[in-house]
Amino acid sequence: MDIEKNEYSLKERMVNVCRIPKEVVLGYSLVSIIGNTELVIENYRGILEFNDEIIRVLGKIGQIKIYGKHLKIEYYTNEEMKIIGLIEGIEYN
Amino acid sequence: MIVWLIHYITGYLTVEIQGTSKERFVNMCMHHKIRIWNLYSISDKYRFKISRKNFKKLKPFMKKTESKIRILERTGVPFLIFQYRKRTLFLAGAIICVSTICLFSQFIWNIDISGNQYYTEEAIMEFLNENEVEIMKLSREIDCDSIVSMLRGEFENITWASVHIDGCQLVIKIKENDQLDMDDLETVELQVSNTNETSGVDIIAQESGIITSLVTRSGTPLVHVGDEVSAGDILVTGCLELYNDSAEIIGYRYVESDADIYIETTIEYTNAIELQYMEKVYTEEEFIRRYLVFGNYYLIDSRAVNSDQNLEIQSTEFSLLSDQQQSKTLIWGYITYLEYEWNETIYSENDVRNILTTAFEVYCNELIEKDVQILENSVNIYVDEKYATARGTLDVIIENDKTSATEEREPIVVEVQEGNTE
Repeated sequence: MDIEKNEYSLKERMVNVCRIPKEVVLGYSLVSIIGNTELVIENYRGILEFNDEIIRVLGKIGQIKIYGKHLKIEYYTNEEMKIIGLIEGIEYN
Repeated sequence: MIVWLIHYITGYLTVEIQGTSKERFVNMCMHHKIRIWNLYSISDKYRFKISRKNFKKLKPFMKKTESKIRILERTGVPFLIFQYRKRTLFLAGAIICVSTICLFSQFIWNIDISGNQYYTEEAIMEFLNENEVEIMKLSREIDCDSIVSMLRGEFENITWASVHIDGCQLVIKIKENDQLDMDDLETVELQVSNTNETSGVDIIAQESGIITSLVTRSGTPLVHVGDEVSAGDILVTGCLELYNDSAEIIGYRYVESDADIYIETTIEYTNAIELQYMEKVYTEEEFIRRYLVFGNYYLIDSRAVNSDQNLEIQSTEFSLLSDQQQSKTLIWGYITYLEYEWNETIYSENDVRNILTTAFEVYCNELIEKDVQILENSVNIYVDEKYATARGTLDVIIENDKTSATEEREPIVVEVQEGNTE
């Protein structure tokens, strides 16, 4: 476990030193939010839960939970998804 | 907008999915690179839009996720074509319409020339037509660069030209040499001054009368204020006499006479009209013939006008392509033939007096516009059996501006005798 942790941190440090985008190498989800009405997520595996108040997205290293009202997915493709509606909060699990 | 247009052309569906694994269904779409958009949830159902092509790939996902799909709406061109598949004429009309627009947009329908002052639009158009640049010519056959060089080659005073095709319009912008007029003026002035050196210009009386004012700027006045002159008399001569110390004329110098001379004179006025005249009376009969001009071709309603009476012809036409008058590509118009007959009528004395008075007022106004001062008029109207005449005289002061070339005189040669010093 410790070795894994060290390796991970080493990888992270390498990324930091080389200034490579983390979402590309480490698989982090990239969340871009414009105001509180538009949100774009890249690097994800799929949707776990979806209704007009909660959208739960499975990222590569965890879940992202988006709260709000009248939530709607404007488009949903392999690369990215765009969520519109009144966004009230984002939670990482 | 572009994305929507592409979807509309290819066709898309609004569908509703129901089942226990709706999220899985959506994820499967994503993993198989099937684009879905406008996804939202309504109670326990998901609604989204999907392209017509991708919808056909959803069948295996429905089986795997045990979901049910219901099509709510079909939108786009393919569905419209399917809906109107039996209306072949409509489809043919639409195709003809689109192809006509495509075909006609290949031609030049108007030539817009701007920036010209010295050269008329007609002259430039004529030159362009001679060089096969004309309306109804294929746009791709027009070489803008060669038109620019042709214009600059033909018209010397065009200093800059720009030619480009804007849709179906050939836009020609030119700039002319502004210095041209100034140069011309200078040349004229130079010629005048050269003329003055060899021969002078006299001012002669254009009317007989009494001089009321005389201000001479150049030349020698031969008359004074109050003198009576006859038409043709020299008032100011352009020949200046040169004297020596002994007050003898030793030569002449010729100048262009310049003076403001006012002459009080009397002019006669006569205006007669016949009491009997032919009046045009329209019989409310009219014939309208419409026509359509398309470039060099025209379509006209050629029905003969059957009338024994005289006809007055009025023509009205409109350009269908643009509001510019010079656009002669597509014109429609109509010719109206108004039937009329001549009726012999006699003016009443009042009418005649009004007509003659109005004509006299117009005459007076014209004189005033020419800076003629009217001192007095004694014009009266006389009406007899056949004619009405306004006759009389006007005392006026007119500005004399008649000039003529000075007669050249032989210079006097003065022989200077040397005294005997012995």
